[in-house]
Amino acid sequence: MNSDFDSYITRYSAELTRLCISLCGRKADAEDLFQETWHKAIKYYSKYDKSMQFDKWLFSICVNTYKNILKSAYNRKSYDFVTEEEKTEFINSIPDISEDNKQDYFELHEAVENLPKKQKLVLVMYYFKDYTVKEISEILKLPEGTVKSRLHSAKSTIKRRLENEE
Amino acid sequence: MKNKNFTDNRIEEMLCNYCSRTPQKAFDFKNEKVKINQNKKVFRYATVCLFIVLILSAGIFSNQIYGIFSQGQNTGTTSEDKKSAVPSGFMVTAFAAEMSDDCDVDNLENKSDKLTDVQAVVECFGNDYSVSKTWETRQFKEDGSMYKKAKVFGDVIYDNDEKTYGDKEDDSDYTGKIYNQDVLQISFMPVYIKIISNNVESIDISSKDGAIAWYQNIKETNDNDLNSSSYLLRHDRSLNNLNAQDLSDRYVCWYPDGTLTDEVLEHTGVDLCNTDFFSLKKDDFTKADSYSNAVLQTSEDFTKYFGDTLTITAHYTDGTTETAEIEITIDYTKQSEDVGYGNYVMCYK
Repeated sequence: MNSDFDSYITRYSAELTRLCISLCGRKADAEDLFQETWHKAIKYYSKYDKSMQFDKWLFSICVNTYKNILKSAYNRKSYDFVTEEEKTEFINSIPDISEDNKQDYFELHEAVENLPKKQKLVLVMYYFKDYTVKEISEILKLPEGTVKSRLHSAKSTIKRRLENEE
Repeated sequence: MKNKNFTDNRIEEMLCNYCSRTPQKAFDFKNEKVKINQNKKVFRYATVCLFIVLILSAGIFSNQIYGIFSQGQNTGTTSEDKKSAVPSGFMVTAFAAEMSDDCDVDNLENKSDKLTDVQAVVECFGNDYSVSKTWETRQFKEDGSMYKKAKVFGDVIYDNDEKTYGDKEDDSDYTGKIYNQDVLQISFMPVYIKIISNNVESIDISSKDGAIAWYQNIKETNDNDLNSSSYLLRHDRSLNNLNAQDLSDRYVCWYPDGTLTDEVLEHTGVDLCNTDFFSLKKDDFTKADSYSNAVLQTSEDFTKYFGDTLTITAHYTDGTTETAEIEITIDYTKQSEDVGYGNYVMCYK
């Protein structure tokens, strides 16, 4: 591992943590994904084309690893909180949360976790960082139209579920 | 049940907060082998144990019933009837589709009318073309990031006759060089091949220029989980000795150009067997993100790139074999300098 990579780890670990948490829900799974992503990034670093932004390359590795993880039936289950500790940890991890809207976030979590996985992936990529549709399409290797339609469907579904229409 | 109203802005804000979740401390990278968490470990052990039990049970059960079927009794099932209706020993049908969105592989048998005999244009589910390419000119900054990218998804804006979404990022302070770069976007669907056979023990299938994937169909009970209705068992230039008995719930998929698949995997970490889209740059600017020249050149000959010859060999239970060669080409419905749309054509050679 060279010094280049050390600086990448320092610089991008926080963002990668957020992405992993948003994708996996469960902290333990998120940490596994985090470690696996860095391991792959180190392994394939010699093939990394430096003209490409490192974060995009890193996050595309993360997303592809997550998609592979989803192939296991165990990992396709949506994540619900089991213990009070998990609930507290979830609430404490959300910025700008107030006592009044805690329940909204629990419902939002349920709605996001129950989205089709493809929609969830696009939604998370869109909101976890200021990526544009175009950039997401590059990271996920999807046509922009597909990204837009999945994003739109995801948001509509979430709105309906939050408003208890379904 | 309580009905609440959430404005779009409120949902946007909540989603931003939700996706900004972070534990009290960011994860630390440990440069050691990733440990599988305990639940997954238990689940994997349980799966392996269950699999062993099933294999053992199947072995015992098949020994018990072998005698009955070997005496010539016919079960008279629908599946057997279908097999008997195949005069040539095996028949190949196909369709093109993005597996999880447009194609319900779980119910493939019920959609047999959608399967196209390999003698004509391979239709795809939905209204999309099987293959499309478009060129778009985009502007990049010296660091490779996009110049004046759209910031927020929402309203449609038009820029140089190009429709984009969201507000443009304020790049007024940027004084560096701007690179105009033509970006080629190619999207394609794989072709799902269904082989219906009679008295066939095993099948070999190979591709001259493409890649073959072998999928296990997984019966999903969760409608929401569109992503994983099938499980990729393996993919290669050729797959041999596929058990004909497995063809009822397993599928062979053809993907264009195995060389390109490997190239893209090597340079981007993207496995084309897991996606159906990639983009390539027309001009390989050193400061913008780009794929290798080799990939670029391969993409230039678009028609050839998506052409292939499949060889399917059936090994019958009586020891004889029969081989069919299938040629795959593209039928362009629309083709110009900037765009190309087409569908696959599959014909017996």
